Amino acid sequence: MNDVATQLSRADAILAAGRFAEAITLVAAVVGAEPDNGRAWSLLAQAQIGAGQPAEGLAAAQRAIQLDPASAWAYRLRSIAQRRTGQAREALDAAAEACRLDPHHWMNHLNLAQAALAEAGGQAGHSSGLQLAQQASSTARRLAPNEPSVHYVSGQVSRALGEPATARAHFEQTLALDPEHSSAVNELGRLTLEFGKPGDAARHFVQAARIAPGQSVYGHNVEVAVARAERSVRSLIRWVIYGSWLVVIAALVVAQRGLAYRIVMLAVLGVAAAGVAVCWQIQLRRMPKEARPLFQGRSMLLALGVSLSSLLAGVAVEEFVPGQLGNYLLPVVVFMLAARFAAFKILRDGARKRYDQISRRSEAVKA
Amino acid sequence: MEHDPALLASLRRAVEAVPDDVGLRLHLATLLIEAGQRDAAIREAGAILQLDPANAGALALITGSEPARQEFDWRAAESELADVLPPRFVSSDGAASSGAEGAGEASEAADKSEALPFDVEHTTLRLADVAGMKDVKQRLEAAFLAPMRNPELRRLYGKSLRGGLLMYGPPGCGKTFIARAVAGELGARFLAVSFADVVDSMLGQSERNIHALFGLARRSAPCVVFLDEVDAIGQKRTQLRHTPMRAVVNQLLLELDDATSSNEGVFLLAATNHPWDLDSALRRPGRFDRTLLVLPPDQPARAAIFRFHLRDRPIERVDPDRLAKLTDGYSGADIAHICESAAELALLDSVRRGEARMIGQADLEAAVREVRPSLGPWFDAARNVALFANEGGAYDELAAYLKKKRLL
Repeated sequence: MNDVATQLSRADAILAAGRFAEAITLVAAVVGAEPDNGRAWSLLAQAQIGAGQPAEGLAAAQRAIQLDPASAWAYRLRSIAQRRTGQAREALDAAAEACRLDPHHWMNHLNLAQAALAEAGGQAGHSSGLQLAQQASSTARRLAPNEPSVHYVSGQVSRALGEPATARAHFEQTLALDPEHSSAVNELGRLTLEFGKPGDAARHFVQAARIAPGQSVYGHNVEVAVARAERSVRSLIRWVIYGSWLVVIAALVVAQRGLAYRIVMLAVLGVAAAGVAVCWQIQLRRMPKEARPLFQGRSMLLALGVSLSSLLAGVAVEEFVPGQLGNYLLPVVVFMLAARFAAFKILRDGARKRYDQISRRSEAVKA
Repeated sequence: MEHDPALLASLRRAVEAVPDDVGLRLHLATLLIEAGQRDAAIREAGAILQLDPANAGALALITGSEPARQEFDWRAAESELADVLPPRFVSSDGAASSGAEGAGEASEAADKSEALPFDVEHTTLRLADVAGMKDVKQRLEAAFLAPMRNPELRRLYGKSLRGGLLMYGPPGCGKTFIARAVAGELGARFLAVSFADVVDSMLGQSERNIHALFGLARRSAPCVVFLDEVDAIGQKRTQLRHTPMRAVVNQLLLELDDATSSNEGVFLLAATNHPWDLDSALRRPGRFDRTLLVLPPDQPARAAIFRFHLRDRPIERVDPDRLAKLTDGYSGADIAHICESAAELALLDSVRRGEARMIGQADLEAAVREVRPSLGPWFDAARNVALFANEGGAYDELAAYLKKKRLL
């Protein structure tokens, strides 16, 4: 018996170090020796959930509940496993049962808040679920005010309730308690991005990636922020393309030739190029320096070049075959159309390389 | 027939008569599961695990995953075929194969010594047996192999034999294998320690284990202490807020930088897939101050790995060099997997056609197409590190490699 207790404590220590596969092997041996040991089944469930096997973890948690129906821990594990296997409703019931069994443990309320949040997730206007989540998270905060994860989940709840300012305060509190809470940094980045500040958002995402480089999602989010910053440059380039069309067509219609025409054309060209360059620089400067290499300058430069070449074509025709722009109208228009399609394709492909969907790290709270 | 109680009863009696027969017990446990007697089955599986802690069938029964299917015993069939068709290695240059074969024997010897915790490694593996990886070997030689062999020169140049070298890189690319080769070079002066050796359930015992390890190392100086998967023992303390492992990291730091006892002559070698999860205090001077990137095998190394894994298999007209060319970006473990898959393909074909045939180049190339390189997730993380966490240039080597491979 004593040997089993020692083995389980050892498994506990291995779990604490995040070595789930080793913990599973160890606990499985204990479970084999003592199939009626509820604690062993709970530990097995915890290890399996941690190892990304929620279905197996659910079976183990059910078994732990059978053996020890008064264990809030086993119910909590069942709730987490059910949430990870997409059974949100059942997960909420199990979380509520854990709270009923042990209402004084903050983890049970935290888990209830997460389960309610998951259950309400995706359904707009599911306010009763969100209110339950809010109540549970506030109880958890009262029971464990110094626990970073409690504030983190409170932030998630506020965010789902559409209260970004409160959410921000909660995430900042999380970071005050644990400056290396990468998920909270990431959430702050997401909030900032929603406010339309890709540069500041990228700064948060870079910080999150620096804290936990193993989480590739943070790097992905930096790219999304960069793509958002690029968006304004891309749309400016589109405007330049349309503008250049307008100028060439206007010149043809008015049939204004000579020096004034050339000056206007070149001025338009210069202003467009300078405008794009300034916008580009502004966006780039707003980015943290680690994110700047991700800026897709080359493709945008190419698109700009292709688009401005149509303007240049107009000027060149007028320059080398004076007074005969009308005769060359068809080739110039064909060239301008081709340039427009090419430039838009370059811009679109560049944007497509980025993921447009921001993602976030799933629950960072320990079971 | 299916759940015949009489059959179960006689099987039980048979198991009682021969309690040590693992196969019989596993059969009984499987039948019990089928008969719906899960509790009894788990008890039997537990008994199996006590006899054979690594028994995969029993583990699967308990953890609720599908029990290993007994459809076809690939290994047994393979060895049968190996008898019918004696191994016949055809390669474009025969000279290189001898080294790899030597490596094979040596690694088996190393496997045997693995079970001993806190003990010296007994292996005949040498660094020369490790194919390719010239830079890595050179760094190891300069860091401690040469100074250990030449104490006079060491004194002349004032080179201290302390501090540590951290090997990092993607999984399955030979870090532990290299460490075993170092063990072979050093013999008794190589102490290998893993997470499982250190961690203990008793409060404070893990710390005492670490202290004992370093005590042993200091007494056996000059020696190399090898910490495999060091990220488990030396995890970032901020990630271990409420756990006993925090004390273990503290103890490790204390031992590395002990004011009361000198670590002169104790050189630390460590390996990890995730150096970024390591506590930053471990990377300071005097501790693991030098890092060494162990990359996926280069082309000659891959060819040697193919030769090694095909050494006992019936093959014909296999060109390891061409295979090596096709497998850029694959890890050593991936290549082992490819060889296994190719053997499966050839075997399945032999069974289908009713006559045995050799494993050919086509099987291997088909397996290469089937097996995807497993290093993607590691390189995602590595890219994050090189872009955002390369403070002080600690990961310059990695960044340069990623740039070369156009991953950055």
